[in-house]
Amino acid sequence: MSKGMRVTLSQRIREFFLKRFRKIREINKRYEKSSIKMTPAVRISLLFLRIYLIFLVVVLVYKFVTLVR
Amino acid sequence: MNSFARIYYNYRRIAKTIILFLIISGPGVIVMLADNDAGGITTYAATGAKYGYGLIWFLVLLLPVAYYVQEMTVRLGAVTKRGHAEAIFSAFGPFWGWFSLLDLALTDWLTLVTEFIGMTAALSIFHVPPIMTIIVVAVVMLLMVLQGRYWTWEKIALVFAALNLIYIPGAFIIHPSISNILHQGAIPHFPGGLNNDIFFFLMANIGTTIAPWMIFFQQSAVVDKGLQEKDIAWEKVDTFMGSVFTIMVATFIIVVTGTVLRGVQIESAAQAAIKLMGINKYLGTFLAVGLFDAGFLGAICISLASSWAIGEVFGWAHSLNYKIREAPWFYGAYLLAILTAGSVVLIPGAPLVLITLFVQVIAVTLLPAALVFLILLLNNEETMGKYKNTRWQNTITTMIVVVIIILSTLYAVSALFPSLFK
Amino acid sequence: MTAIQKRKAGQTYFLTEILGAKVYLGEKKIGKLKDIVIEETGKIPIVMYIIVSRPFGDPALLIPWDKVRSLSNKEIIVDIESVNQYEGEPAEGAILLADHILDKKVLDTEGREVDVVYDVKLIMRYGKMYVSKVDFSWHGLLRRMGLRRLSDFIYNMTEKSYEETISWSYIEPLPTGLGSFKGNVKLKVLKEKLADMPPVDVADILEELDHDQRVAIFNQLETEHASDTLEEIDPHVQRALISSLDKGKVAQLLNEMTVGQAADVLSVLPKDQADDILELINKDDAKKIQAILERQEENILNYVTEDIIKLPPDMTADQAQEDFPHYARAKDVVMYLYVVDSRDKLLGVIDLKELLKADDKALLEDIMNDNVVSLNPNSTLKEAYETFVRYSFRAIPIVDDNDKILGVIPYRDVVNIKHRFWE
Repeated sequence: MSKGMRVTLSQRIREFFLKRFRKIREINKRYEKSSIKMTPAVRISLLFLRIYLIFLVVVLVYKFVTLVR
Repeated sequence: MNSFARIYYNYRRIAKTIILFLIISGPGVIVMLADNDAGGITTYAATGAKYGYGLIWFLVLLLPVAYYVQEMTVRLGAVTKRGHAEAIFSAFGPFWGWFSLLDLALTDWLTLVTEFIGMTAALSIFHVPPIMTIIVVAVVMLLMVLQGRYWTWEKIALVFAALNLIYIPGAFIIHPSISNILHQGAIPHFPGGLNNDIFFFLMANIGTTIAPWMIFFQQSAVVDKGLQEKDIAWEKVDTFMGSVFTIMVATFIIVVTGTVLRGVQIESAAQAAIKLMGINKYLGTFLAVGLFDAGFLGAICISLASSWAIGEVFGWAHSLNYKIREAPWFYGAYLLAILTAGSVVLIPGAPLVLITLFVQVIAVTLLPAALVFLILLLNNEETMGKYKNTRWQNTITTMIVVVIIILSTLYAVSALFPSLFK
Repeated sequence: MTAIQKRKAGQTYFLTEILGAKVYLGEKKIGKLKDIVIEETGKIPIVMYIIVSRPFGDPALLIPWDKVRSLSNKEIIVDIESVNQYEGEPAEGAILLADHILDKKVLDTEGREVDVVYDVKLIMRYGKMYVSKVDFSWHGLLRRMGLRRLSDFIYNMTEKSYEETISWSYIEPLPTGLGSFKGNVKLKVLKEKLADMPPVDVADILEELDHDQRVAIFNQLETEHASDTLEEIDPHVQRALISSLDKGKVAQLLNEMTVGQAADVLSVLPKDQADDILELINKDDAKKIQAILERQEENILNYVTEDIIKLPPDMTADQAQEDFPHYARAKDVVMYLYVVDSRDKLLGVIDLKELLKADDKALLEDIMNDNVVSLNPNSTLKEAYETFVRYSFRAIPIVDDNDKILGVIPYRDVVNIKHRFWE
């Protein structure tokens, strides 16, 4: 009985996460195509944001590493 | 037309303007005054204590900055009828969407923690134990949203926003010299020269004036209020009034601490309030009450900003006009944010100072993206039509965004590596 | 406003007094009256919807006028199936009385600012609500400032009508793009010039208005001006107007006129009404008027002449021309030739000028005008006079029921008579 319960529980947890992942995949699919027109300005801005993000990640990682040391 | 008729005509026009403004106003005033959150109050108090009236001019410069950024969210929300998170997903795809959403959730949660720190600190001046503060605040915040109407929520929030103006009479208690304020504060200059210290303070003030959650919050609030294209003009006025209020409050806090606590090192607003308590009981009380109110106002807005954003993206019912049963996930996220953030403050030995510091850094990771997306979205003629940015708006907002990105990045870096600029 | 007018005009409301009235659906209060949507259809705008504001930020209701069951300054009862289905905004370009009209400037025809729309008067008639007047009097200003008692007091002291309350008919069609702060209310006439307008023009305006407005505006005119205007108004309108006016006022107006003019005006009224009014006029004048009225009712037969030219239809034009001097001898009326059959039945009329222009061989029946304006033996002098004025003939034939010509009444005789009793 209790074993059965446990199975159900873990199944439930699995199902819960599966459901969430499905939801996330669904969202990804829904917004797959970016609707904004890719003008040069948009392209450049997005490129800049990517580089900026990488820069910040590098800085944070560096800080973390120095902290840990 | 005789002069009586003329006077009456103008009186009715003004009265009508005010009434219409009061009906439409809300998101703008709330977001701007919530911007003076616990962290903001601390920043202003510290600025005043360190430089006296010397940096008031800089705050006045921040007024158009806040206005122009937030004004864009009004148009975006009223025209597209959807929040900022959803707009980013839709326009720029899942990568930027998830990045913005997760970053927002994290920033908001951390900021929420700082609000709780502010509130508990403020009320502990009146010997209220932190746990009491947090429970009462959580209950009030829940009651505010559970009544199931955006309208009611907004009116309550406006009351708390109005309470934020308590600093204005507070400043008059101490009879500051107006001519001194004008002489020292009105002319742009850098007291003690442009060094690392003052740079840090300038950037801190910018950081409290423009925060990523404000963009998400106001856009969602505009949508939830159901504002239409025709309301844009009023909502702009609302936003402008809000930015006037927020700068006024900031200025008056600086005047208070600049007059009374000149030269005192201030670590937090609560500490400033305690010090003021010793000088003038009412002044200290005002500052403490104001600090609590600021934290509370910040908390209700920030937690909502996250809930709205998550609700939009996941396609849950996400409006304050829903009852709890109709939008369980929306209210669930709201409650979860409040409870977890509140509990963290209660954990003994939690790294609260680190969190406060971390907030600014995390905010900087999101702010540039949110601002750039805002400008790009506002230039999308397909969705914005005639409400898209004009050339003038593009020029000024681009300038603002570039300056903010540079300064906030420097701020974040200097916060991470204090030795770098020394 | 006198009691008589109030009764005639139906229930009236001031916009500022009904705004804020509680709106009920059955027993349940659903909100407050916030605004009224009007449409400019005919001469005066009609109320199409009421806008009901609701508490707690619930969307306003747009309720069609025909759902309104009762209306007073305190409460409005509506009858709708459910509240939610009436949530809505007025259509683009709709005119909101409180938001778009009230407190706007009133401009005259030359664009000068006259005053402010302090209030709008509404009138309920046969279950429909109309916008009847615009109030830009200082009484309106006082009432808006919460000094209604003071306004009433002064009003009662001076016993003057709300002279600056003006009928909606004097308002230009409202401009498009009227908004909360945009647009003004423009007058069709210069208010102060209404008094200076020639009575004929005032009469023209009055004729265009509907009854209640006409009475209201007419009451605003000064006695002398009103008297002159009254003369110029079309008899049908005159009759309706006089019936609605206070008899004392009519008597006053008649006193301003010559007895001939007065008789003219009174003659449009039913006899008993005319008699009532005559009693209020001073004795001498009344007598004279009475005499004229009686003369006017005199039968035309006394003035008819039978000495006219009667010719058969098959006569040729040259024959008629040739013998004309012979026919015309000792006749009273020679400018018209009356074409009759063997039994004196009137077939047509020929103007002498047309006979002279006609082809020699043409038959009279070809050139005659067979659409004859005629009078009957029962017609009165007054009717004859009116017919002359209308058609500018110089003589009109009198025919009996079988179209048999009895004679002709010449214009000069009627005119002579008119002179006799008019002056």
